[in-house]
Amino acid sequence: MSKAGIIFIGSCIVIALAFMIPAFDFPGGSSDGAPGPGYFPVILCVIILILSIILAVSYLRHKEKYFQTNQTERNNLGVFLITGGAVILYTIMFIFLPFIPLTIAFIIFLNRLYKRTWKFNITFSIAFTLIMYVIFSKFLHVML
Amino acid sequence: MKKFTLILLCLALASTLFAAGTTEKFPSKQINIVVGASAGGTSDVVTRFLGKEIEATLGVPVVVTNKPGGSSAVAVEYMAAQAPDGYNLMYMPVENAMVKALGFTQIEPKDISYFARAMTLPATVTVNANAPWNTLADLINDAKANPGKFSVGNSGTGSIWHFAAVGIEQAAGIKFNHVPFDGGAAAATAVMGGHVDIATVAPGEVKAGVESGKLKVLAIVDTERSSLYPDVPSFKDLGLNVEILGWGCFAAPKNTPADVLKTLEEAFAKAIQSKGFQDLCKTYGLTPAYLNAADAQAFANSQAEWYQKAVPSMNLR
Amino acid sequence: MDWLQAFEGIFQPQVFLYLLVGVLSGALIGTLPGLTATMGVAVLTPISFWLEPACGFAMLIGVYNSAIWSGGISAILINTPGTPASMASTFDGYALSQKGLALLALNINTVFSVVGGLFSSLCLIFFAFPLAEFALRFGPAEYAVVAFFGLTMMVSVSGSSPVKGLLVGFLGLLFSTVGLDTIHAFKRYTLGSAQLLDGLSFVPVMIGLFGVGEILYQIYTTDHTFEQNITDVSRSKKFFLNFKELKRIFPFNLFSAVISVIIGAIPGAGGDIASIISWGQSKRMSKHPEEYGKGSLEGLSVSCVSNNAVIGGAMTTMLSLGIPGDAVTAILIGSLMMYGMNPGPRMFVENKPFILTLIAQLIVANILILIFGLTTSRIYPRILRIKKQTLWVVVIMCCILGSYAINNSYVDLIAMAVAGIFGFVLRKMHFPQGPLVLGMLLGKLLEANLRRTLAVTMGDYSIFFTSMICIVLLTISALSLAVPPVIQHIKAKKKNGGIAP
Repeated sequence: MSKAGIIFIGSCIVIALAFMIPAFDFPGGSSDGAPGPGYFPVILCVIILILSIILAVSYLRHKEKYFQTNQTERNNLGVFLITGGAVILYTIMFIFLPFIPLTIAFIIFLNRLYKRTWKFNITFSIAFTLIMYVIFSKFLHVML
Repeated sequence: MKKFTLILLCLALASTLFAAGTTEKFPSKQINIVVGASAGGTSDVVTRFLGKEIEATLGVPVVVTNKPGGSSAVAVEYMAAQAPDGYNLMYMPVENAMVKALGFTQIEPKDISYFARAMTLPATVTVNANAPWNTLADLINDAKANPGKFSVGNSGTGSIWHFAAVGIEQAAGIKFNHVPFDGGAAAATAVMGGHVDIATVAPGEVKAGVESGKLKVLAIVDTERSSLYPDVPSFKDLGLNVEILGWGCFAAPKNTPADVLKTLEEAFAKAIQSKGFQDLCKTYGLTPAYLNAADAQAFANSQAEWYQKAVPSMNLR
Repeated sequence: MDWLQAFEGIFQPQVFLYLLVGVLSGALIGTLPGLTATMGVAVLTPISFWLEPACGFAMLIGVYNSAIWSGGISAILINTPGTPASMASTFDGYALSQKGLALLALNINTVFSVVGGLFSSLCLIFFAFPLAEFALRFGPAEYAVVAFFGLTMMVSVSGSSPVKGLLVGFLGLLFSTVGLDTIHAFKRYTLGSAQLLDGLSFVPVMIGLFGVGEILYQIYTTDHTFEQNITDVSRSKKFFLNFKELKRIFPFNLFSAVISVIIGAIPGAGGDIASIISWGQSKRMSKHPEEYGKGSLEGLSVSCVSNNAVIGGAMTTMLSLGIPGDAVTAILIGSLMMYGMNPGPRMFVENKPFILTLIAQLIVANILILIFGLTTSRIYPRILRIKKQTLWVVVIMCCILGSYAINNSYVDLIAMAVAGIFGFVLRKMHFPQGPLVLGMLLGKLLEANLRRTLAVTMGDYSIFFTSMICIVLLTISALSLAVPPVIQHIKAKKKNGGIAP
């Protein structure tokens, strides 16, 4: 059984428990027989736990590798992680910073990461940000 | 020397900008109005219509955006955090007076500057056209004989139409089985299909059903009759007293300058009292009910106090 | 003769022009992930009030149809559904374009979307009232069963390993319980934030899983020197299906069109549910279920037929009963009322010419989509020839802005980003992503209606076995869960029997 498999199934079990434990404290169903807010989550969590165990058993039996990597992928690991992190960071910063400068900086950063030339990078970032801004803010009235 | 001139120049430029910022007449740029409900609903329609009217009066673009969620709690939290400059306004439905009582958010009408009330809307007591009841009295008598047997569809637990049904129960001394739906239109549809017995939702939401002969309205939960159903008695006509009404106001963040509020108040007063808005109200079964800033604020505060007391006593769960 | 007038009306230059404007803006809005048909219609509605009713409505009809169609374009080319309704088009569409058949896939999307649209317009003409009456028979119990039936599709969407699919699917269902519970208005897992009261919306999660997840996967797996990587992904010149293929997929499409019109007519169930159900059900009936999800022509065509066939169904309920079936029709009802018309049976009497015009507009909008789609289908695959890195940045930005644009909500944004990373993990570990979205889509529908049913019946489950619709749907669900494994078992036995001496 691969490490990734353990982590994945482990997280499923953790998620199920995290949802199930508070669900027992939810108020019960109303007097007329309709089930309460905890009814559905508890059932779902039990099913998830059962499925996780089934999957864990089959992993153990078959000794499958679930997160095989090759050389290319190992080379890309850095770029991949930075991209993922940058996306998360950008969405969080989006709440606090004004849209245009933040987005230009974000796109310049990504383009730099993907080794584009500076000339292309700057032109593309500014032009693309402004186009997106016009479409979303002016045409679609999104609050940017 | 050169540096000094440059700094001086910058200072001069900054001061002119600053001065322009303070003495600038309101409004000078786009005004945003947030609606705490999805596009297509009554709140949205009313806001978009009035938005267009004040756009003409104030001469700046007015943009309406939807920010639905949590009985408008999401939108009100957003709005309360905006700069109080008069460019960020919000449509305030009746739900704003109850979100604190329901525990969705801590913000209540006191924390916001109301500057106009546009309209109110009553609940109807609507049943399937094939139902055995032809008057509200029939229904109440039948319900007295069978407590808890008849199901009432409302627009969601803790929504205004749920309160309306509870209000009817208390006024008539009967007991219903409350069934929450996703919005009033869904409840009306369920009555049409015979899945629940009664719906206590807005006149506009049952309009198509009544016209197609699938629904009948027994009473209007208000002191006045509805413009959509002039033949249907109001609760006052029937000697019952339930004061639970939907309403819609407009508001700005707290501490918005008085002169800005004044401008907005005047623009909205004109729009709300326009012929076009009166016609819109007629189509949607709303009651035009303008109140100025002071009255709207007092009204909203008193409503919030009322719900603060009523919600725990109504035992919604 | 009314009809003649209605069609004449369309070819008044300005009505036709606005229809065209609608189709073109719909194509743009639909292609951008996150910008849904609802949003397109909502944005254009205020503009439509300046126009004559016929012109204004032409524009809205154009946007509605065209956005649903063009949602398939991004599904096919970049694995990101442009609108939720085209989710099922990603399964086979993206696989086809990976095989170099992007042009073919795009044309299938266009032609079959139009077929679905035209079919449903015909239903609107001939069966508006019976269909609407049938839709009214769906109460809470029936909705719960429809949702359950939809969930049985998790197995079909799971690919090779049902257990993996089910695990992911149930996680999706669990995530759908976040937020105010629809029956008791109790706050579940909201972490004390008003932002989470309405729960995690499924559109941003879907965009993240499919769009950003796919981009991250590409970033991780492609060789960044990009030398051998300039594959001509748009190499195949195959333009459309041949007659034999058409004949083979025809019955599936007819079947999907019919169920989609019905699902569309039921208020509250839309193109997303319809296309998943059509896809899953066709897979079960197909002679080649193993091709589904790997570039099956049947699979792509049924998902395209069904999301556009829903439009006619939704319009049916909207026009004949005045009930908004989904967000788009709610807005359309609003604008009809603004024009002084009353959607509902009275409209068929009072504004009959307008109804005919409207149906004519639906038909012409579909024809415009057909022409526009087929003439531009050679241009779109060029997107795939853009440098990969540029495409990555563009898609990431579109996904981010699109998911924010839906509700102007920051929670949606962050949910999208997290879903993107989760989508990558699932992809890399050979878990299917489809069931997660399906679970989130149907979770609320199932739970709310199940509990609503029990609130109406006061805890009595017997309604599920007395309502005709429930019995039929439950039987189909049970059969479709039980029969395929049994058949496989028999086949396997026969095979073994043949080999054994």
